[in-house]
This record gives sequence, C-alpha cells and structure tokens, in this order.
Amino acid sequence: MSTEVAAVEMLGVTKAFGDFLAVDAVDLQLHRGEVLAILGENGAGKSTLMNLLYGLYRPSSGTIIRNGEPIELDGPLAAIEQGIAMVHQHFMLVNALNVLENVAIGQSRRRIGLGLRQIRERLHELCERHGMPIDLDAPVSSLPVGVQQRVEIIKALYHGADVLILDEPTGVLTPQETQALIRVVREMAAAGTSVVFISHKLSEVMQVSDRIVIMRRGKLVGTTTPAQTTVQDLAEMMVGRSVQVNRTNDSGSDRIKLHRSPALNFYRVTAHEARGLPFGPVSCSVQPGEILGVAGVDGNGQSTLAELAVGIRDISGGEIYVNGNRMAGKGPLGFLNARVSCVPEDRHRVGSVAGFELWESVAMKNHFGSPYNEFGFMRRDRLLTLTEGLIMQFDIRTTGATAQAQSLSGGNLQKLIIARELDRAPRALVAMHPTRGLDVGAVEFVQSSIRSARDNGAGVLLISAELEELFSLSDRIIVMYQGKIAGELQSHEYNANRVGLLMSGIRPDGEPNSLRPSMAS
Amino acid sequence: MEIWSVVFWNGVATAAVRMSIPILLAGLGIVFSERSGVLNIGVEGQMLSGAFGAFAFAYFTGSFFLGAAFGALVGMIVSGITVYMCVRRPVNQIVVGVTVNILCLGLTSFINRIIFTPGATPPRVPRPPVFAIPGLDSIPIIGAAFFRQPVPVYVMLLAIPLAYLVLYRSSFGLDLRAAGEHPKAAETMGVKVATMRTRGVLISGAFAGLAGAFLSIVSLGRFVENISSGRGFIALAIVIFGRWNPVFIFGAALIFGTAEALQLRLQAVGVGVPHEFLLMMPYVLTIIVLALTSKRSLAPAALGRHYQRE
Repeated sequence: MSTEVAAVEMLGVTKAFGDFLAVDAVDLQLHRGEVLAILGENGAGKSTLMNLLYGLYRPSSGTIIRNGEPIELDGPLAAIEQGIAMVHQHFMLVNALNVLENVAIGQSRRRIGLGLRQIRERLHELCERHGMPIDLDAPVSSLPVGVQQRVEIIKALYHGADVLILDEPTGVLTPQETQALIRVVREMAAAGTSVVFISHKLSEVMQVSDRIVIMRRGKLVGTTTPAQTTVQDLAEMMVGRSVQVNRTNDSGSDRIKLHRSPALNFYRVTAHEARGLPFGPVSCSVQPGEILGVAGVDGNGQSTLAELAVGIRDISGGEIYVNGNRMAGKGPLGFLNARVSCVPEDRHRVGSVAGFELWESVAMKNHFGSPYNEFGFMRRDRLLTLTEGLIMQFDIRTTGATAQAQSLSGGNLQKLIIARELDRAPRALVAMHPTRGLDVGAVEFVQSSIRSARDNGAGVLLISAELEELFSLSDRIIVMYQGKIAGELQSHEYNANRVGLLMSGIRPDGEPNSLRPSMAS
Repeated sequence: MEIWSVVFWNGVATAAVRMSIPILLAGLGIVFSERSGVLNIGVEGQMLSGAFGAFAFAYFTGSFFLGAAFGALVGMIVSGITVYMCVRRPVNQIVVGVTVNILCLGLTSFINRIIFTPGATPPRVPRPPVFAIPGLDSIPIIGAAFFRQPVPVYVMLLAIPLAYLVLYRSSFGLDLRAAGEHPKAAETMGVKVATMRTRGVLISGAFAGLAGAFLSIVSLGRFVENISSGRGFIALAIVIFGRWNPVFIFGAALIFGTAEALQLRLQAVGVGVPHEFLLMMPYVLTIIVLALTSKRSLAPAALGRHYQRE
C-alpha cells in the first residue's frame, strides 16, 4: 500500500485562527478505495481539517497533495473540480427544488439550458449502481432525512467525486438508516471511492472504517484499524484519559414511588402544526423522582413536546398538569411559578443572552420575585452572591460573576444554565439535548446533575438523540414519531434495534399496540 | 356613455391592459431580484428615474427607442445603489430601498425643473400609435384588451414568457433561484452568490426603468413629478400575491390595471361618488389583497438576508 500514490496526502497542514491552532501540523494519507474514519471530540479539529481539504479554508502552512500533485484549493468549486466532495452535517440542498434541479445547480457559466434529460439518465445509472433508489422528481423538502443524505451522496458522485467527506453523517439518522448508510459507504469504497468518515460515535467507526485516525486538540494522536483496537481504547485515545464507556443504569423502578400527582402529566395533548408536523394527541406522565427519556429522529415532535411542557407553546386540545394542577392558559410564567425548569435545546440563543453578564443570566428566571427583587428593582448584590455560589458549586470555569455569558465555553455555559435551573428546586425538569456538543468531561457532569435532580425528587423529561445517554439515564423511554408517541419501553426492554424501529415508525413484532397505559392511571 | 354598454367596457379593457403594463414590468423585475434573495424596495425610485430619463432622452433625441433604452439604463444605474449597499455590503435592505425612493423622488423633480423650466405648455413627446390587429380587434372586450394597443404593449407582453423561460428553464435562472433559497448550498455547487444577486438586482432595475419609460413616453407622452405614484409599491405587493411567478403576476397586474382603468372611466362617466374615493381604489385593493394572501409563505427562503462568504 505504501508504494501506491495516495488519493490525498496532507503534509504538515496547519490552520491557525489568531493564536489558536485549530489544526496543528497534521500529516495524513487517504488511499484509494479506503474508508478512513477521523475520530475526535467536538473542537478537536476534525471539521477544520476537512474544510481545508474541501477548500473552505486555506491552510496557514503545509501542502495538500492529490494523486501525487500538490494542489491549491481556493474554494469548494476548486475542490469539486479536483473530485473532492463533502456531505455536510446540515445538508446543502435547496428544499424548494426537486432532486434533479438540485443536481443541476451551478451550470450557468457553462451552458444556457439545464440539460435535465442527461442529468436524469446519469443519476438513474448512479442510483442503480449503488443501490440507492431516489425519486428524482420529488421536491427535496418532501424526502425523509435518510433519503436527502443519499441525494447529497449521489450529487457528489454525479460531479465526479472520488474523494467523499462525510461530516457526522449519522447524527440525524435512525439506527436502520445508519446501517443502510454504512452499506452504501462500503460499496462505494469497493468501487474505488475514498471516503472520509468524520464521527464521534465509536461503534459506527469500528464498523465502517478500514483505518481510524484520532485527533485531539488539532493534532493527530494515533492511527489504528478496527482489528487492532477496541471501543474502550478508542475512547481513551480520543479523550486522552480513561473514561467509562456505557455506564449502566442503576435503575430502580422500586426507587420511584407512585405519587398521586405526577410531576408532569400530558393528557391527550394536541398542538397546532409546527414545522409542517401536526402534534398529538400525546398522553404521558413523569413521576417525581423519575427520568422519562424521549427518543426519536430530530423533528418528530420532541421540540414541540418540550415547548408545551414549559408553556412557551399553547396546547390546542387536551390538558397538561404540573403536580396535579391544570396549566391551560397559564403561559410560561405559570409554568415557572409551578417550578418547572428547563434546559433548552439552544443554550446560546434560548438558554442565555450572549451580551449579559453571568449574574444577569442567572437573574433571568429570578428577577421578578423576592428576595432578588424589591419594589421592582433587582437586588444586584444578592444576585451576585447567588451567582458566585453557583459558580463554586457547579465548578464553572470563568473569571467571575460579572463575566459575559458569551465568554464561557459551551460546557461551562451549559453548567451555568443547569445551575440556574436546579437552584430553583424544580418539581419538573425539561432537558433538551443537554449534552449535545459538549466534551466528555462536561457530559459526565451534566448527566450526574440530571441524576441528582431526579434523586432530589424532580420529574425529568429528557429529550436526547443519543440512545446511549437515554439508556443509561432514563427509567423509562418513550419514542416519538411524526408528532405522536410510537411506543414506550421499560428499562429491561432497552435495545437500540427496537428503539430504532419505533423511531422509523415501524412497530416491533409481537407488540401490535405499543401504547401502554401511563403509570399515573 | 352608458356604464352597461359594450363600448364602455371595451374602453375599460383597453385601458386596463395598458395600465397593467408598468406594474407587470416592475413586478417581473422584482421577481428576478427577490428570487436571487434581495428585497428591492427601491423599485419605486428606479421606476421614477427611468420615467424621467426616458422622457428627457426621447425629447432631446426625438427617438422613442433611444428614450426607452435610456429609461431602462437609468433604472439599472439607480439599482446599482442597492447592489452596492445590499449585495456587496450588509446594509438593511428595507432601509436602503426607502432611502433610494426618497432620493429619486427629490432628484427627478429637481432635475425636471432645471431642464424643463415650468412654463405655460409642458413639453411633450409623441405617443406611439395604436396598432390594431385586423380581425382579432373586433372581438368584444378581449379584442379591445389585447389586439388594439400601441406597439410597445405587445412587445412588453412578450416579457412574461421570456421571464418564465429564463427563470425556470435556464441554468442562469436555476442558479439565481438557488442563491435566493439556500446561498450556502449554491456556493458549494460553484455558484457565485454575490454575482447572481447583482444580476438579479440589475435586471430588476432595468425592468423598473422600462416600466417608468412606459408611463412617461407611452401612456402620458410627458413627465410629471411623482409620475409613478406608488406603482412600484403596488408591484411589490402583486409579486407576493402572484407567488413570485411571472404568469400569476400578470394576472395580479391585470386586476390592478382594471381597478385603475375603471376608476378613470367612472370619473369620466360621472358616477355620484367623489373622485378621491375612486382614485383610492387600486391602493385599497392592494391592502385587501395582501391581507387575503395566504399565510403559508412561498417567498424565497433567504429573501432579505445578506450572504457573507466564509
């Protein structure tokens, strides 16, 4: 293999943003027909490295060699001309156009007409060869996420790519779609395409790749193959210290006592259509001292569920009860006063205000009542004391209570939000993707905070896309599909395959009606 | 003249189509600009400048064609302000548009008074003659509407299929629309978003200038201050009503043309309604139509948002 000319070779490639080395003297080879996984935590430099190869950034120093020739990439167009294509995490597809038109974009400097007939023929051929059926005339917006991803791949192949970069391709897929993607990737590699597979999901990486490189803090820290390593070793190389993979759930259904009034109870709740998806009717309940996990492919109503549970969206039918009290028409403030806490999906834009100081961010849910408000004026001194206490207690790395919220790293900002929410001794806690984008250390901290909230008697509604997180934290899991609950699993039934089927709207056999009566009834 | 006579409605039909042309042209231009992602609020000002430029050039050269061409050119030049501010620089598109409109209203009135000193007889240019298509022009209503018009009307109606073909059947149109829907995706496919948007706005300016030229040298034969009197804004409204589609926009423009023609004719016939109320009709209609427009937006996804390359 070493005598063969590599499809792509990177020599001493460095990218600096100011003083910060996002990519630090990386040497990397990508062979023909190889699936190379790049593994690393968020911020390890994986995406920056690939954006260099894709021409979005230019290296500060170092050389990129393609088929033995040094190349300069001054933009994505140059990369496409070099046969290098990237499938982004957020698809680069125009929703309003159909599949054919999406592939036809970008020809205006070469021709007047669209040439849709030739494109159609060529796409048919590619779809057939790679076993990826796609309806070419369907508007992209009508296609499921898994199919949209295929469109991206087919688009890249159509443009003659033989180096394909997949950036976190499985983040939005069900386990079944993930398996289908892995098959497609293996087939493409067998046909001679080189694939770079960026991921932080260890099991997939073990399954799909020929070779694995691990990045940490902008540097390559190791190269291995699935045969030579284990998931545990990979995790340690990625983080740089030993970690516990897959902590088991110390689940105790015996711990949860059946209370007369659940912390949070949805009774046949419906809501107006949001993002093109009708919602409900949904019935479910969370007991005090219980974590109810919510699984589902993003965009199947989980956001609506969370927004309803904290009152920022109105129900159109049914009832929501917090601690047995009807919440209809009470609005967000009513939910706050009923001690419902919330860790929102978007910690930068919803959870905090970038330009606020930390004590102001902490004040955001405490500013209107005693003791932090007197005669309509905020008691800055008391809020500062509170904030400093939380900074200590939650180990938030910052310069102090008057630092700006935007100066915090993602993990520390999340800690601040969780500190604020838990300090209110919530009866119910709604957490949406609380660990998304955090590094392993912060993930551990956030998860243990959620556990301790539960142990203190809060009912927790945990929405997450990470099945492992749901399995290890939740006492029960419901799966959402197209705005409804597709099924419910008790902790002894946890199984990725089963959840995956429910996530894609298929009910596992032997369970004709998976809607069980909720624990409250 | 009797209101319920064929003669009356023939007259309304002829005027309706002629009145709809400036709104239609401005609307078609706006489609190009907005499909590329840029709100061209300055269309009113571009129209007004085009109207003045066309009249002045036609007056001094004596050539109708040079006048029309110069009108389009002036509209395009004025839209260059929008290109610089909204495409090259990230200035708020609405603020720029409003500013352009105010600037053009003042500037055209000012230059008009300098060049054509206000006097007893305002300067005029000859209006192009009506060309009736034999046989077809005698069909009631339809014939009057579409086959008994000055030559420029026929030419301008051809702009509808032309705009449609360019937008939906050419690779330029596809790239333009991609720039307005998902500029980043377009950029990854090798589309230069800023170039597309520049062209979209310039095309829009040229159309607006042509619309203005139609008002001054076809409809009226002279220039008066604020000759466009809000037609650019009406065009912005009919683009929304016509769902950014050239064919629907023609339909919408006809509705407004009819409203205008009707109020003129009703004034002439003398119904028992103060003429101020009749004059309001097209503008009231605009408000009603916008209120009725479906909430489900079909607007280009990136409309009005500046795109910054990484």
